[in-house]
Amino acid sequence: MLNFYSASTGTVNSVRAMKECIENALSAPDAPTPNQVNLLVLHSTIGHEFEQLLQTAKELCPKATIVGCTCAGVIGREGANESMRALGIMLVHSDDPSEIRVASCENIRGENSFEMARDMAIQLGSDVNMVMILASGIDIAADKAIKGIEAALQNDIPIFGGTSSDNMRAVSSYQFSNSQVLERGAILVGFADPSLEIAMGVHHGSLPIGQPFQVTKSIKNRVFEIDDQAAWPLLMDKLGMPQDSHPGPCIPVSGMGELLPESLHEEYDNKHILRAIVKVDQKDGSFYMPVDCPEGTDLWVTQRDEELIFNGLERMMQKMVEQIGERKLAAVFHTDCAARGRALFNKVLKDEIIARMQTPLIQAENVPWLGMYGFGEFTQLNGKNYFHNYTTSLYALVRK
Amino acid sequence: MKDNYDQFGGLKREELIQLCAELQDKVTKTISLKQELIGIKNDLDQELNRFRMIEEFGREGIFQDSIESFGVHTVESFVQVFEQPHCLVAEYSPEHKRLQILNSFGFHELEIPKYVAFDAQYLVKKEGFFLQQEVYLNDIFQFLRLQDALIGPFLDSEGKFSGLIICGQMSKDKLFYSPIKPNDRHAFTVMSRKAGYLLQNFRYNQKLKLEIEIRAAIEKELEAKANDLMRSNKDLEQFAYIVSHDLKAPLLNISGFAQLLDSKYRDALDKNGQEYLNYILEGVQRFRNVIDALLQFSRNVKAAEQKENVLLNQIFDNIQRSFAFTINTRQAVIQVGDLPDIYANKDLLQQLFQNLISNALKFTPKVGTPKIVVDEQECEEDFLIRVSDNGIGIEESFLKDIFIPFRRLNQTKDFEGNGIGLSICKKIVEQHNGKIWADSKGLGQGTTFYVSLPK
Repeated sequence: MLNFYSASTGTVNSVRAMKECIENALSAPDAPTPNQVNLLVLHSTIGHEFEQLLQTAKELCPKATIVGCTCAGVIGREGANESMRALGIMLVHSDDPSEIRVASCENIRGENSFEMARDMAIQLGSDVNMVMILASGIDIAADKAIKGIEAALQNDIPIFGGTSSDNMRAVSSYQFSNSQVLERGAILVGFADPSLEIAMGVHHGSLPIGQPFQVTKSIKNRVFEIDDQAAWPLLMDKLGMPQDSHPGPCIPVSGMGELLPESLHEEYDNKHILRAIVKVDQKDGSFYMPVDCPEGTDLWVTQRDEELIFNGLERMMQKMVEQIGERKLAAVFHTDCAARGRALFNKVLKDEIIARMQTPLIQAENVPWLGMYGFGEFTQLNGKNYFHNYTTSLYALVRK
Repeated sequence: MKDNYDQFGGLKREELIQLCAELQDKVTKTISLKQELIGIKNDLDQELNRFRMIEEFGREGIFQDSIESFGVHTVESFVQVFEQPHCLVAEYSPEHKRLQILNSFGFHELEIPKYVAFDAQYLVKKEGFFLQQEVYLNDIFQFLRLQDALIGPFLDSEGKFSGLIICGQMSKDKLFYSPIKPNDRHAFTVMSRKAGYLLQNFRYNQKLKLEIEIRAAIEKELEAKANDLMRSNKDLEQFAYIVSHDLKAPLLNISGFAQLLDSKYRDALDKNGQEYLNYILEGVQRFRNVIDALLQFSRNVKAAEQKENVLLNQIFDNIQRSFAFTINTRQAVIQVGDLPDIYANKDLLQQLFQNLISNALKFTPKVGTPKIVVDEQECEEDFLIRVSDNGIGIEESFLKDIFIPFRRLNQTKDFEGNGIGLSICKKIVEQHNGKIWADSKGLGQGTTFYVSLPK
């Protein structure tokens, strides 16, 4: 049986931050010793010394497989921290280490995402009952990666997790696999604990504006033209921004809405799924979507609606609490869009949002919580795996 | 014709579409404007949080108990508050004209020296400033390879330069770190000031702590010595008491049988025998005097605790009455000046001055006329009483020994005594936290005793 322990810190010294987190996570009287930890999942913001983090983690938890990624902010039980040096960890222990499977790869890109993900999923083994994915947030074709995992396991295997990010600059993001720091990597963690199930919730709170643009020229996830014009310059012009803008600072406003099948509208609490643009080719004005975007696809400029964000969050939490029912929570993983962090909310609102998520789930119980502000979220809708952007996605691991 | 118009204000369809597109454009453009406003609002919120963090830095800084932890706390707090990857804090030594690097953060690839030569007279700025703006500092800190950095001078409470902090980024850091904004200077100055006061406060505390430690060590040593002294005093008193009691019993026997011999058999003895008997009787008497003195010496320990206001002139009146016979016989002159009232144990003071007067009378040649002068000398902190005589005087080299028990400087028969009188005087004075000493210009020049007692 898998047991989870979490902690987060804003300590800027990387060695001390990791020590502090491990010590705090394992402070409960029934916690295992660091030497017994089997898996260490870490989220770090971009300013930390990654080698020091990994080395310290390995020294303190020598038997643990270490996985993780960078993010724009860490969300723990202690709240959110989007400083340049924030760290959050989830430690996992099991008397049966085979309940934890880990696979990783380097150089995952749009064109090979299916194969890379499939091969990793095969390594996990067919008896895993859920898969956590941490992948590069800039280069991956997330829908292909989902298909690859499903091809190796099964169509309804719950996939959860997110893509890494930097501090919203969309320059580089990193993934961690034991002592390795990868820049275009992906990691799959398979849990094979038969006593565990997962309940998910997702919401974005944005609304489309007016008429859509139409993708008139694209290859896979690369969009060259919308409405017969160079895609990125047109979008920037519409948003009143310089045409040569870097995608990073535009993320909070450049989200594109894509119409969802009607059957998912109620489940999603919205008719549109959002796509973030984190990579642009300034030479030809094309941009990269995180999923395939065939010609003829309608894309809406969207606008965030604060009321919808808060009310939608309430509805999402209500649904999750109903989903979980009487079952006991083992841990909560959480991915949130980097654009929903300090780019959108001040500290008071952010704290309020996190409290509204955490209070119904962890309440008085000491439920471990590890979250990050990343570039994208993997969350199921109606039992089907989807990749999202601009959402809050919660993954509650519950005991059957 | 009608198809080209709709019911909204008679606009053509194309015009309506155009209007909608323009409207959508305007709405779309407001998204980035709105985001810009959110950005400004959030920047203000972050600025507010930054000042909260600076407050927190000040509060936590007070609890740093070593210069190392002060250094760590300072650089890490600056890194956190200003979100920069590198920071260095240094303390200025005006004596050595150099900066001592207390701590640094993020310079893993560089070797940071312990000291950097620096002359504060070239630093005129009191506020935070960009490193690149100051040629002198830019040259000094070139080894840090910082491209964009702020410097905050530390000033003490008198406004004197006491150190500095540098926080910033190298060119390679620009990938993820935003350039330092000119607006950051204000918060940087505020935090640097706080750091400067913390450093000053820490140094003061450190000094105080050291003084307290030294005092505690001295007190401990004094206490140990006092305990030793008390123990040895007690041992001595106990010893004196036991010895005198143990000696008194056999002495009584000798004295009793000698007196019996004297009363019953004196006539049976020849002249020599009678002379020997006299020696025995005189010796026994002297021995008894010594034992009585010893007993007295060992008994007057607790008496000093019972104090009252003592009129010294009255004491000397009593003493003169006690010595009336000797004074008359020797035609001694005792002049007593105007003496103060002293808060002390009356009986002990009586004994103290009685011993001194007795000494003065005793150590005057039988042929001469003793002249004793008692007066008070001016002294701010203590009562200083002087007892001078025109007696035989004391050689300078023996002055220090006269208060040692049984140390008789003059062994001649002319000057009888048991050698404990001055020891008792010293003991009485010390029991009153005072001092006693003697002065003499030499043999035949008289002696002056000084008694100093606290006011």
